[in-house]
Amino acid sequence: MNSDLLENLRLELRRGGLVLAVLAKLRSEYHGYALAKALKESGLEIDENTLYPLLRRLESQKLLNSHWRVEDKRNKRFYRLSADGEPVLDWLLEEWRSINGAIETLLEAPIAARKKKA
Amino acid sequence: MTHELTNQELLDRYVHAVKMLLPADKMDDIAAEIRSNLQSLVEDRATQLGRELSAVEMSAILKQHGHPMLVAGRYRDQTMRGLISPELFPFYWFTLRAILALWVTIRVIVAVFTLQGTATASSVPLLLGRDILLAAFFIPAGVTLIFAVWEYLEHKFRYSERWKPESLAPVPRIPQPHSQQRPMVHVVGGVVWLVFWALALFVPAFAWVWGGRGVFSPSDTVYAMRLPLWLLAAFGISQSWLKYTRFATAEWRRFLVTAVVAAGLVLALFLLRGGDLLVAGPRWDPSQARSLATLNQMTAGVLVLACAFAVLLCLHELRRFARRFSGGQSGDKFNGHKVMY
Repeated sequence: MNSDLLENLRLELRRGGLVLAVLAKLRSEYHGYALAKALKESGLEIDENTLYPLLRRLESQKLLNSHWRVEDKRNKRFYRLSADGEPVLDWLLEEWRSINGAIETLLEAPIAARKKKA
Repeated sequence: MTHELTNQELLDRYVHAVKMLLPADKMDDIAAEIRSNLQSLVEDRATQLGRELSAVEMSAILKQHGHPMLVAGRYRDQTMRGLISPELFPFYWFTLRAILALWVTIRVIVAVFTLQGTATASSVPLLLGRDILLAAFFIPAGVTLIFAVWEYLEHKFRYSERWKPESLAPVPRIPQPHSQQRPMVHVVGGVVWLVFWALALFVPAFAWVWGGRGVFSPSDTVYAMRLPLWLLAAFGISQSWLKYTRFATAEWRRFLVTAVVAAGLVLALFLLRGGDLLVAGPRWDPSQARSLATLNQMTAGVLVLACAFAVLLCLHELRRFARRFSGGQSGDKFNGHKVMY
């Protein structure tokens, strides 16, 4: 199988999930690097050049709030889910579960059919 | 001896390079954040290693972070990344090539025509080269500008979201056979026709085509209208070329045919108003006077018939367009579908 094709398909699959993961993680406050690290530790590695602009975009869409604050003697920009972002996150999670459930059903249908035949 | 850069200098250079490519209104803020995140990453690595990073390791981190141009590019407005969007690009590309091809064809034909018997014939190829070079710059610039404005207006007003399925052109009842041979015959025929007229009208050595022994010549009216006649022929050939290459939709080709016929009608009317199309040539023999009169009558008759045919065709096309815009269906086998033949 063409590795470029696989990579493109993987990226497409991940794209929507990344926004959801970022919004979900930012129910707590994080700065950019710490968020990238936390997501990686959760098993979801994001390229920093994708994550940082994404944070900016979500902020411009009023889904996140941000502010500069000194931590460990250095100025860092912290992000957090905004009041507008909370219902959006809930809605996205509901959508995610619905898609997930539908795919699970699709995957289980052939297994159930095979069991019935046997 | 070269000065070895410190980690701080490397970081400063990198952040500055990114900053210079960022949108002006946010460059300081974004650059500060990139610096902050990179410093966190460097501190993290240093903690893991239990020592400061070397310049080589620092360089590797920055290299892995990405080229400044790519990093800055991610912060630009994604919707305005390109002048022409991928959706519009195929149409843009086709339009650009079609206009360039048409323009070069016409310009070459005009140049060939201008070469005939002019005192400044030697300068014509130079002028042609200059014009083609200028066109290679200005035509893409103009077409790109038009499409960029279109793209901007589309982005702003979302015209493409206002379409209705009902407004799409109907599917043809009888599909056009995909014959390559007939259009090829058109192209070859068009070229032969063009060459014939070129030789007959403008090359004295070929005057025999008019009257057997070169006794007749084209009238001043015909000679004065040689350029429009050439352009008409060129448009006729370009229409056949479009059909052969299938670069244009059937609807567009039909429009082109109508335009060429309408232009031909105007030219034919001018020729008819100008009186006799043939006059006595350099080897005129008075005994040929009757033949000349007959030939002029026949030519005029052919032109009148061509005018009548052109008027009928134009009226038919007008009626068809009117019916289409009033929501009716013409029932023609071409019917304005978007399939490329």
